[in-house]
Amino acid sequence: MKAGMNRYRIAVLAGLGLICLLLSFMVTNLLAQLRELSTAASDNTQWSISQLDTELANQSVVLADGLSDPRFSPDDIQLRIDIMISRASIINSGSAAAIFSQDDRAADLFAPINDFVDRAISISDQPGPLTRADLEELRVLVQGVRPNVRETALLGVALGAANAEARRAEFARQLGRTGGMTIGLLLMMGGLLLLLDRMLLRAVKRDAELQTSSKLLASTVAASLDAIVTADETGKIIEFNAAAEDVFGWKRAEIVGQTMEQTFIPERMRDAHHNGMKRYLETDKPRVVG
Amino acid sequence: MTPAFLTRLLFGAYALALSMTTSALGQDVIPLQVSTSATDAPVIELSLETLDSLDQITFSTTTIWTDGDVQFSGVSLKALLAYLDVDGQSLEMVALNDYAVTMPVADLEDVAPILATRMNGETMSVRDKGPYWVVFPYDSDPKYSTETNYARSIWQLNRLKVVD
Repeated sequence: MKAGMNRYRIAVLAGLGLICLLLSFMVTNLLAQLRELSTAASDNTQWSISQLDTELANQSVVLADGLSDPRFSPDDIQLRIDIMISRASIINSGSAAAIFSQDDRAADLFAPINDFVDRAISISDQPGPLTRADLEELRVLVQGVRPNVRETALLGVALGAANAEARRAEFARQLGRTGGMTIGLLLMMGGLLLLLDRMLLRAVKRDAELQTSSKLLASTVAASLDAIVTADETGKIIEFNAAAEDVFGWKRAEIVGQTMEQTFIPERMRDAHHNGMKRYLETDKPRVVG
Repeated sequence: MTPAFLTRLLFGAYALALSMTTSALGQDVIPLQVSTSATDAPVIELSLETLDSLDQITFSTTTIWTDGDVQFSGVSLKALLAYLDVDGQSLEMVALNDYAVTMPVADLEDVAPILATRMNGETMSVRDKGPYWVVFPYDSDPKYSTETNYARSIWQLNRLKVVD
């Protein structure tokens, strides 16, 4: 009986421990997923990379317009060149650079772009306003580098898509793990409920058995012709049968709840009874009491 | 020569020297244009000196566009709008290359984003994302590292418009 009970308790406690462990796993997992989702920077990086292509196209138009306009404003063109230079530097730093570092082709594509930027800087940094010849040279340079920039933008899109796909796959795996844990958790809770149900059934059965045997005992005691007095360890009377009423002269109703010492044990034997009871309770060995 | 005249002369020389220094300092920095949706309201031009005279916020953070830690300093956008005493629901931010982004004025916090006037202590040239760059302290809280805030981190900013 007792060993079986301990086994149950160990199983229940182990189950609870496992649930706690799974829950903490799930919570940390979900938090990590949430952070990853909310702090992704892929969209912006993609935009920055593809904007380089647009900026070069704009530059091309600005230069062509400048060349066709006899009163072009060198300052406006200078500003566009500066904007383009800032765009071009995007591929060399931050998360855009991190994306391109995964691919060998990127370095080959970047070399002419960076050369172009250096050349554009040296033309625009010449003393004095931009001349028509500067514009013409820049236009030729822009035309020359545009295929590279276009390819860089396309490579950026491809690498970005591959990264996004890898992230989605990882996210799906994490979701799968979380789902698996949830199912495991539910199964375990189901198991624990079944265990609880079995324990409940056993308890009900045992309770019924106990009631039957105690009723049997009570009727045996009541029907006995011998006087039977039942007392607890403090000497308080808890049962007093009909024969005892006849023998001692006390009614059951008036004596239950009182101690044997206070009632039917004769004055002179009270000390002996008291000591005997005390010894029995301390040593568990009956001598007088039996 | 009266003392009053001397004082005036000295003050005049000082003012001249001051204007020469400030013009040398702000020479390359394009002013910030601020306008509102009110049709009769003039466009306010804010020079770097004016921006520098407001309370400055400085923080270091990494960004997705730069390498390593970068120190930004400038003016809180919220404080700037309060200084200009302009009201509106949203703030349109437009860059030199016409990149534009709108953010609700209600999203402006006391300390973020800032209108950065300096990166690592130096004013920013157009080639290096200047004249102004709206930045958040991305590293200080994950809430700043979102796609929305990256989109709002507009560089080469030169125009602000407060609209209803």
